[in-house]
Amino acid sequence: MADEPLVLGIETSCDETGIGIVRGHTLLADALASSVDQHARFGGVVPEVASRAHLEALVPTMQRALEEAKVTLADIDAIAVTSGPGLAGALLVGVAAAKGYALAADKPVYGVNHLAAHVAVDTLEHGPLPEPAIAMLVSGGHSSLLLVDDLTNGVTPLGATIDDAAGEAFDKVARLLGLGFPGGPIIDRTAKEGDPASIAFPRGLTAPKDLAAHRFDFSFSGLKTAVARWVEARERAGEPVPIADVSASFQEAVCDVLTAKAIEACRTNGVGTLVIGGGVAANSRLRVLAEERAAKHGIEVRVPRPALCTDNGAMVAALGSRLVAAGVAPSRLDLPADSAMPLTAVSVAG
Amino acid sequence: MLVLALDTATPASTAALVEVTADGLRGLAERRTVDPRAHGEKLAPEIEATLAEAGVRPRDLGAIVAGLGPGPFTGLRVGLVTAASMGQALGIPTYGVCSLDGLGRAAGPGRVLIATDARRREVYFATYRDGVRVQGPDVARPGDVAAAIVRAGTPTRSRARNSAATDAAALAESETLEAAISLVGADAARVAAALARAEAAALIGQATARDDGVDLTGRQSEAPAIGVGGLVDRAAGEGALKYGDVFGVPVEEHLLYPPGAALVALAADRIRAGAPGEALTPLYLRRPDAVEPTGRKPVLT
Ligand SMILES: [Zn+2]
Repeated sequence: MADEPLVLGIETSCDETGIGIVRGHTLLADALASSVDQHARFGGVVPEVASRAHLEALVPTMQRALEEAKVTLADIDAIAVTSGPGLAGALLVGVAAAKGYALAADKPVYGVNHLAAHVAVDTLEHGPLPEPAIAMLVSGGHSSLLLVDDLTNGVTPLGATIDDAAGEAFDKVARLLGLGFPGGPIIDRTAKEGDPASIAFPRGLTAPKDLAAHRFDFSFSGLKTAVARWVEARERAGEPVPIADVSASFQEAVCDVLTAKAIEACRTNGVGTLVIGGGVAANSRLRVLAEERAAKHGIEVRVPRPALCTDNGAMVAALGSRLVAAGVAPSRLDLPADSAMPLTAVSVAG
Repeated sequence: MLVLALDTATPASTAALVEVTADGLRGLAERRTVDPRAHGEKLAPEIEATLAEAGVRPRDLGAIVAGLGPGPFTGLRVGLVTAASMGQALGIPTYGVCSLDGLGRAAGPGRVLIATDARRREVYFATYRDGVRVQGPDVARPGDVAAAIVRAGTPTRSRARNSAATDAAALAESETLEAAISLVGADAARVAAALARAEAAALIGQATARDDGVDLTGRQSEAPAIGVGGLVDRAAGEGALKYGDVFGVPVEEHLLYPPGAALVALAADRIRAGAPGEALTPLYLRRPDAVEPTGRKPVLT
């Protein structure tokens, strides 16, 4: 529908420079430039390297997005930008750019929450989100369970990782096994050749005593250490390390905990919809296991296609579109980047 | 033509509106906030207020000039991405200029050291003669700036490091002195000679340390701090103010941050000629602090 708002979204919270354009719930463009290759040799994202790459990529990525959507900046109704959480220096590049575009083209700017944007992106694929919903966001930077009553208004965090993020665990285990970076896709592939039941790796924060205090929290640090110990013990004994079995068993431990807690969060809150987002949502085993378990309880699982699960501009535009439609006031031009932006703020108040 | 100038290479966020005519420049408005952590928040409202003050709309602008640094990266990028995004939205060219040059030009006649705070107890610096850059930009500890100025003006040949420390010492002293005299006059030669001796001493120290099996590669020995008197007449920039006692020359306390009009003046020829704009890349004088991981650390001990 042509009368729905045309919203542009800018994402620079980590190593992806993303610019997306949506009209209502329809995705028109999703241009992305990634600096992931520049970080690979460091085994993780280097903030300064990411910030440099954002500055270089921003203008050309914007050009591609506008061409893909066949619109000009003058046609845009509002500009949304990730103002947090994320890497401070990286966020700042996107926020400053958003203000530059907004100022020059005389458009309102919305500083939005990156995590809420991960939830909003699903509407581009599956239409309006039934609310309340439970959202599970799992990536190299976050592992959160959220109760979403009204995405434009606020989100209630139910739990989060108390140490490593889920994606971080994949990266660290991949490095341990000499598989490369980023670890998620490689372990997913390697695990297909292995037996997920071959090694019983620990399930963090699932013991009754842990559940009392951390019912919906996650912990992956112990799992990572357990994998390291298991591998080293093998190496010391001079035995070959069964890479595929280790990958499959590790992946099973992660997915088991994630899906069990997500389904439990749905049931406890009487919610019939589970949205999964973030880079780890692209994991094939996570998708299968979540659907298997959700089906038993009549819960609908919504997972956007992998390109929309990882960080991108479309998710920011999707959330911006919801905010504009709901009549939320835009942010002001002194909008800060907030590396620790809380989930209670879906957008920065004007 | 109306030109917007932006600079965030120092603790100041500067926005200025300058009119460029066929034969001159006219400053219309300028705003500045000095806060090393507020570039991201302050710059856009400042631009808006600067334009409003002059009754100018963004679409009236014909070009944007931005200070490329050197400066602390995080703040510097705010100014550059703001200039780039505005230029793209308005379809107007963006031109980059060295932020230190803005200060150097504004400092006027004579021999001037421009120094800005590079944090970590270092300064970004360059030297100017009658507003035109002679050396730099570079980054160094304040006490090493004099040595860097002399070294930059010394023929490469004399900078060659002989493996024998004594040869290096003799070479450094004789040639640096000779070069310094021809470059900056006899007055500065005393400074150069002192520097050469200090460098020679450092080289001897390193050679000795290497013989002792101590690896000092990549890390120069601590040389004594030497002022820049004799090399320049005065200094400007907030780095010059901060380390005034080290430099030992008069500091222009009114000239601490790059003025917008001076930045535009540096690009005026390109603006008048309608030269194509350029992608704005910061003057990165430092490499990112990132270390490649070595082998995997065992968790079992
Ligand atoms: Zn994310």
